[in-house]
Amino acid sequence: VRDATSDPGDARAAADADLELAFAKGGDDALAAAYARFGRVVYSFARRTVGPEVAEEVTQDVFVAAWTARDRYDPERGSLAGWLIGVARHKVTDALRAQQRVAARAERAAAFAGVAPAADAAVDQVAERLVVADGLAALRPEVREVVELAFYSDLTHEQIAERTGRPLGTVKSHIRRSLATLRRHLEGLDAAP
Amino acid sequence: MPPRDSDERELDAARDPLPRPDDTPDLSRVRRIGAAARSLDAEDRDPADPPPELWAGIADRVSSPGSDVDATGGEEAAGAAPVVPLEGRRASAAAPAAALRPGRGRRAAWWAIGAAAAAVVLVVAGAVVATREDGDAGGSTVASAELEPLPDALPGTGPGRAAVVVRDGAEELTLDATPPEAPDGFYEVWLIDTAVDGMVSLGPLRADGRYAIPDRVDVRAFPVVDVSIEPPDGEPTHSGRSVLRGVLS
Repeated sequence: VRDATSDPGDARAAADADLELAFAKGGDDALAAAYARFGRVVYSFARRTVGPEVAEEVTQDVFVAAWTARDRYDPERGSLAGWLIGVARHKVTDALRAQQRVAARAERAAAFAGVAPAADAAVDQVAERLVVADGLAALRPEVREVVELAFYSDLTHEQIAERTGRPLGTVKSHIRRSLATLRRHLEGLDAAP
Repeated sequence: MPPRDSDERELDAARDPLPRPDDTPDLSRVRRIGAAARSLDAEDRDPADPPPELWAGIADRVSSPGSDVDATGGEEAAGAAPVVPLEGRRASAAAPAAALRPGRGRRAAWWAIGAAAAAVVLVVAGAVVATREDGDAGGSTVASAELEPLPDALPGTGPGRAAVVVRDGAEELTLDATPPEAPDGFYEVWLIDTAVDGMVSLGPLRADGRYAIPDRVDVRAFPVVDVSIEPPDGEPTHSGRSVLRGVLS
């Protein structure tokens, strides 16, 4: 029997799973709960792509659109965190297109001094960074320590076990399960309408 | 080199963003994850808090009467069947309930950005349409709109109603809206296009609620009725502070 406390996510992951189901079903307060949990990530994404002044509008649009389309969210196909950022990515891309369209009007170009629209690829990168950061933050600290060595070092599993003083099996399991959790975020991102 | 097991292949992929021909979808996602993890900066790890009032705007838009976000599926406006629909537009293309919040310095930019951000979202104020002879006013109503208060409205701002009335061959906008007095400016009435890009001012809010629509202005091209608060700064463009909005249909 697997000890529940050895799961990478523990209580936060369980709460997120409940929220995902409630959101997909359109449950009472699920939108408020989703905003409470993911509002920062979505807003931060918008800030970093369309800029702080438009970020509020985009964030509102994302949650309204996500709620409208909630029956298209399937927890089997990815995390809600990823899906919301995926919805946000489309909104941001729309906003940037409009920005560029307006910028193309030569007589108004001067108004855009200082505004450097992010290219689509840059938008995708920010989206992926934010869902990965959120996924890492949700890990228990002792799991995150192991996972970060997987990303930021060249150590083998054995060396990570040695470094952290954990059994090899635990190290492998932490990494494997955490990668699965993080993959689910990207799946949500890729599945967003 | 000994064959690598699946844990080892994942660990390799987490550290190497370059795709390989035999990558499974899972492995290529691990490459993306590793690349993202290595490029995290401080703000990624500690995202900025949204302004506290942001949630209220979402809650308003999801629950406001007539917005009917639930029933629309994001595209077509539900609501009363238009008797005399405005041509050449889809109701869903308009009604960006809270899309405009420009800073006064870069108005042109924010208008368009707001439009795109709002284009997909449908928050159509419950548009009610009737063609009827207006006995006392002596005109014929060809389109109307319920105006919903927006987050930038002053407390106590109630919904309003607008109608396009044809009287003696001329179009007129009648507007029934009595927002509280704005201490820092005045109310101005606008017709805006569905791209939220072009707009026509109909002038400051009038007590008699009647606004001439210039002959050359086609309300079908500017179906969004918008009331803003304008600072008395002589700047003729929209302040971006919209307080009431609805879409004619």
